[in-house]
Amino acid sequence: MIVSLSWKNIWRNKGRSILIIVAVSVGISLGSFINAFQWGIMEQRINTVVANELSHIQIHRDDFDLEDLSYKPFEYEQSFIKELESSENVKAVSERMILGGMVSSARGNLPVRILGVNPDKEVEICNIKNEIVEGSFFKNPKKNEIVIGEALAKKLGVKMKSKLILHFHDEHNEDHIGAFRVVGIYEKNNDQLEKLQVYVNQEVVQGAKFLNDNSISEIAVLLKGSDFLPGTLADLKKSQKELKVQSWEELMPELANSLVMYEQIQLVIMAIVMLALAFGIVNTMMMAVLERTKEIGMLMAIGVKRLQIGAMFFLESLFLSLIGLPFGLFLTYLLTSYFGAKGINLEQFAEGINSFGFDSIVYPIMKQEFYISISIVVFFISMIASLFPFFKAIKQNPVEALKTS
Amino acid sequence: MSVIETKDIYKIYNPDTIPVNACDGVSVNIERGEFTAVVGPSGSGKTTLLNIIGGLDTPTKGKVTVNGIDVTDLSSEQLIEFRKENIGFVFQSYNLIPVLTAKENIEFVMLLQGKSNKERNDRVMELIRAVGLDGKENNRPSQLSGGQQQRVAVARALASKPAFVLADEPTANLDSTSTKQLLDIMEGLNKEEGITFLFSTHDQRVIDRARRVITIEDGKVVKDEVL
Repeated sequence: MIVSLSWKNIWRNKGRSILIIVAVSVGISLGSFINAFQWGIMEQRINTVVANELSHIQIHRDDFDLEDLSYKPFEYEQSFIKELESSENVKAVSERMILGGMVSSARGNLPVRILGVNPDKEVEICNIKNEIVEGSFFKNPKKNEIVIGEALAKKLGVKMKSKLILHFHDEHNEDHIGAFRVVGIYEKNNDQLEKLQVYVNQEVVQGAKFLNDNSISEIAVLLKGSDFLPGTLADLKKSQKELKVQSWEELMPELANSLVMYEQIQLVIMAIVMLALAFGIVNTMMMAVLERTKEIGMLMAIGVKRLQIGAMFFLESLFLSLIGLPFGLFLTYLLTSYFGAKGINLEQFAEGINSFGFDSIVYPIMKQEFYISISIVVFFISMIASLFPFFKAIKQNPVEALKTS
Repeated sequence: MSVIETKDIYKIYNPDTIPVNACDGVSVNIERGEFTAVVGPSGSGKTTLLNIIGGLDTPTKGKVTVNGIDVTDLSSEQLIEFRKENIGFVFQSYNLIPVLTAKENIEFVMLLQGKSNKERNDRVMELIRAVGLDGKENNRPSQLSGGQQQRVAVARALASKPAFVLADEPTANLDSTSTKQLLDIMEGLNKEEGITFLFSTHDQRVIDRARRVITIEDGKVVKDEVL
């Protein structure tokens, strides 16, 4: 009876109720969409980091440090690589040489991270082939070829076929200098990385002109999906105890931490949106209690219990939010589906965004779990908001209430 | 046996500042089947007396017995239950629930009492006929005239088969025709079914129909006439 009366009461002032329902729906959808937008940015950044920079897992010498670019080669068995490559969870494996050095052109010189790679394996593990905007990802494995980032090319004033001088140290701190011809220029939408990272052919650096050995300093492992990361990482850590086996999260803790931070920011945004909605509902329902004070008096007089009257207003408030919730979620679904497919083009801010390593086209992502979390949050906030009209209603005195006009 | 018995009822508002004696030692007995009007000028204490008898307000001093139950001993929750089972209220401004139809308004108290669907339907139709609202049972209050709304209010007051009906200025907002119709209905119910009515009123048309008139001035019963 009380439930049915509450339901009828919310349509007593249709315009006001519809306005509140629309406000709840729009609030939920906009709050959720902001979160979806942030998730999109973060997910793309992680995908970029995994696909273009780190892969899922990297294996190094025990004293490896991401900030320390000195060459730290380690011993490994070819059978280990073959075993990894044949694992059903592994998509690709690439052995690399990571060397710190300087690159010089006629215009100047800059510190760089030199990646000595096997081009055939490298294109399998990262997206570099698609990022080449000029030339190709190596032509001749025997020649001194170099692939550089667009930002570095601009900074050094070089173009395709220009010659660059590479200067680096080996494990024993011996200098190696060589002239390399630019055969490819890549673009990663990340100016910092474009300036820092250059690719050379592993075979050349390992050859007689330079190190004259078969050493490598990094094994990058790309998995078939992030779901396989915990299991594969644990297995590798167990089997390669002398080496440092790290996930991308361990290699870039700041990125993993920023994910946690983003989750917290999302909660704060949703809390602000929900608080604003709660205030709207509380305000509307308190007004309803005031407008219907005489009716509350009458209900008390004819034998309706205080708790039943309170419950009636409580349910009215709750209904307003809970009607708005599905509309809000549906609107969120429509927005994220549309923009998730089309993307939000932030090209006008591309320079700034790219310099932080983010893409200029953002594809918002709405995780299924978020729909459930947001429903729970809305439900609880509505319950709390509904307590205000509940207490206001049950505090009424029937004689005083009946006197109101 | 008296349906209502009040003994030395006092109600003092603002006892610590400017005391106002709304009831000043009121003692009245209302017998079953009476059709009684409480009259008096504005502020004389009529409504306060009715509120105390109806268990809406508590006296500062004195005792109220309704159907043998000492109302002054009941807690606020017990009073709600007591009102639901024993008293029918009719208010000056009808006070129907606007989102419910006439039928739903009438059966509302029976729903609170947990009466069965059949029992409710039978009683509602009986009351709808008694107050002359056949065909209007599915109308909402906004679709009824003032007189019709007050008749729904009377039917609602009677739905739970109360010991008596308290009507506070029931005709104050009605025109002559509606007043006459309403009084005819209430008088008929009183005579035919023996329902006890206690009115507070200024309205001479109501006073003329009453069989007993209690006059109150400054919170005191100054006259009690059986006509």
